[in-house]
Amino acid sequence: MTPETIQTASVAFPRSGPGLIRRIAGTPSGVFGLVVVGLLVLLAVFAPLLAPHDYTKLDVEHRMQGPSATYWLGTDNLGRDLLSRLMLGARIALQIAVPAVAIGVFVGLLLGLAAGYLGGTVDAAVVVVLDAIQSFPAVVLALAVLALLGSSTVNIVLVIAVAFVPSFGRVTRASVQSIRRLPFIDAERNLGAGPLRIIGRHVLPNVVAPLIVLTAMNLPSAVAIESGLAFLGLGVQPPTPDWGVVLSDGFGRIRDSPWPVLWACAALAITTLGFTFLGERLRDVLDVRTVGNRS
Amino acid sequence: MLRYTLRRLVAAALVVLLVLILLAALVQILPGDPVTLMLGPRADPALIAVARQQMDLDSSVPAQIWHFLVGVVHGDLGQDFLTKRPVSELIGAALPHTLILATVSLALAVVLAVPLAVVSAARQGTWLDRLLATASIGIISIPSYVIGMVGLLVATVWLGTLPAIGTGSLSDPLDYAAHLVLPTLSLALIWAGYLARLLRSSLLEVLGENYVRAARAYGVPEWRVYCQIALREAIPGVVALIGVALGDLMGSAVFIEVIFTRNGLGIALYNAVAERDYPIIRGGVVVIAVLFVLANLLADLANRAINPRLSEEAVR
Repeated sequence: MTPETIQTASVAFPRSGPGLIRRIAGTPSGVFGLVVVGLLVLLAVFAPLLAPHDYTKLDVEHRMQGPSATYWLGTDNLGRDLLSRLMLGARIALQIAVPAVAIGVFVGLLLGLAAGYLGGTVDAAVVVVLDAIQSFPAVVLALAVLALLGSSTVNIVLVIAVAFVPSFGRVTRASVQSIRRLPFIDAERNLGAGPLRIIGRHVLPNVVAPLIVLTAMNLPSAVAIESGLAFLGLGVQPPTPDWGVVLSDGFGRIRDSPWPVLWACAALAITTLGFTFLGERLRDVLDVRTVGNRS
Repeated sequence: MLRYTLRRLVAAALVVLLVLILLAALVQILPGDPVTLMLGPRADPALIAVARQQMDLDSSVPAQIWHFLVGVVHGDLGQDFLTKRPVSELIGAALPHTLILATVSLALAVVLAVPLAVVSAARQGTWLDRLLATASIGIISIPSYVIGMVGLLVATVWLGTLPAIGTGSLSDPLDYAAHLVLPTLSLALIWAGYLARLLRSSLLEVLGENYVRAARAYGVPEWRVYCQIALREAIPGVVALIGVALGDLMGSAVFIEVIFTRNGLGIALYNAVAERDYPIIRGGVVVIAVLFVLANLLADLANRAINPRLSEEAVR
């Protein structure tokens, strides 16, 4: 995106930058969302430096323990520090969720723009494809495809990305359609503006706000699918300390020690809550009406 | 109406066909075919050839899909390579449990959502409304397997009252129902939160209408305003979502069935995936696709039957 379009975009939604963050922090849930997402980003970048222990170090003598002074959250079945593993897990969750949603935004944006702007056959074809993808539980499709493809990181990212294309595609298509019918677009076209100019200067800036909100709301779903697949043994593989891996390690021994399951669940719950509250708050602040809660 | 139904059916068939093409094409394109994945790289070439032939992998992709579709019409989903049982038998045995799980969860979600929605709509803008809103947004965003896992911990490891593991037997309905409590709750809470939000906003919309004000002015009691007027208008919005909800629940059922070791389509698929058993994966995925498409179709048609004002375009 060029700086020009960003300037136009700031007309479409309120002040960006520090002003925007201050407005998001206007409610308790907004503060919660900002803090959680901020912490996650911090962990994703600095986890190896912040983690109190080496996440691979075995301390078999102290395995499956509850929280203690040395191991704040306790240890897992091999005596590895749970806190360090979960901190590293934040990085892995974002490493998969962020690219997956980014691909979803990109492909969805392209399809939505094409469908909404061109209309006709292109529109009908795109709608059928989006319907086809959406008319399928994402987890089931991911299971089948990963079982056949093998679960490399790239495959996991792609499989999750596919699930998010429809929601972004639909929102873009709807925004484009509503703008395209406005008289000033006709006027612009009569003045000789080409489709690229109309899309770049008028359509895109108006799509940005809904897409930002939808991104914030889809990220937690991506994290949930990613960890869920790892829990089922088809996502990130052990010994990588993915939250789903911690969950599945702990689940097998839940009667001996509930701590790994409990903490992994807490990490997942807090993360999804943080992103969702941030998304809800963003929707209010940016005044976006078209985005639903669930894709 | 008939034309519309036909169009939806064609779209539905297209979806199922697309899924089939995707699976067959994936198998064809991939370096490691399902047979090698299953038998290991050092398997006897003669055995591999037999297995490939049995799974119909030597045909071209269109031929594979055609053979499979012809089989489906005859009620044949292929044969499980490991046990030699027909896939249709395996899925037929698992399917009822998953359908019961999904429908009971959905029903429970509606039962929980209606009072929540009425309370928040009636107390709009109060602390109670805000509390319920935050709670439902919160619960919507938490993955169902996290809720199931915590439920399992609380109920079995610490309380030990409910049977948490297993399916129970349909011949003992009480026992079966007891086994359903935790799994359905784990699935229902999310949709209860979501439906409550949805119902609340449509309730508020209806309550703002002039005829509701008129009804109130005539002294119609509040409970009748809510139950007989407002909810009747708000419910169709929920019906339209049932298709999506069932699909979503079938997906989450994989996790719930694994966590609670329940018999069902999800766990069958999970086991097949663990063993790389291609015929069962294909059969299971196709059955889920068909079910989901059917549920959407029915919800769509029901919605149009309830609400004739919906034009074909508005359904989009």
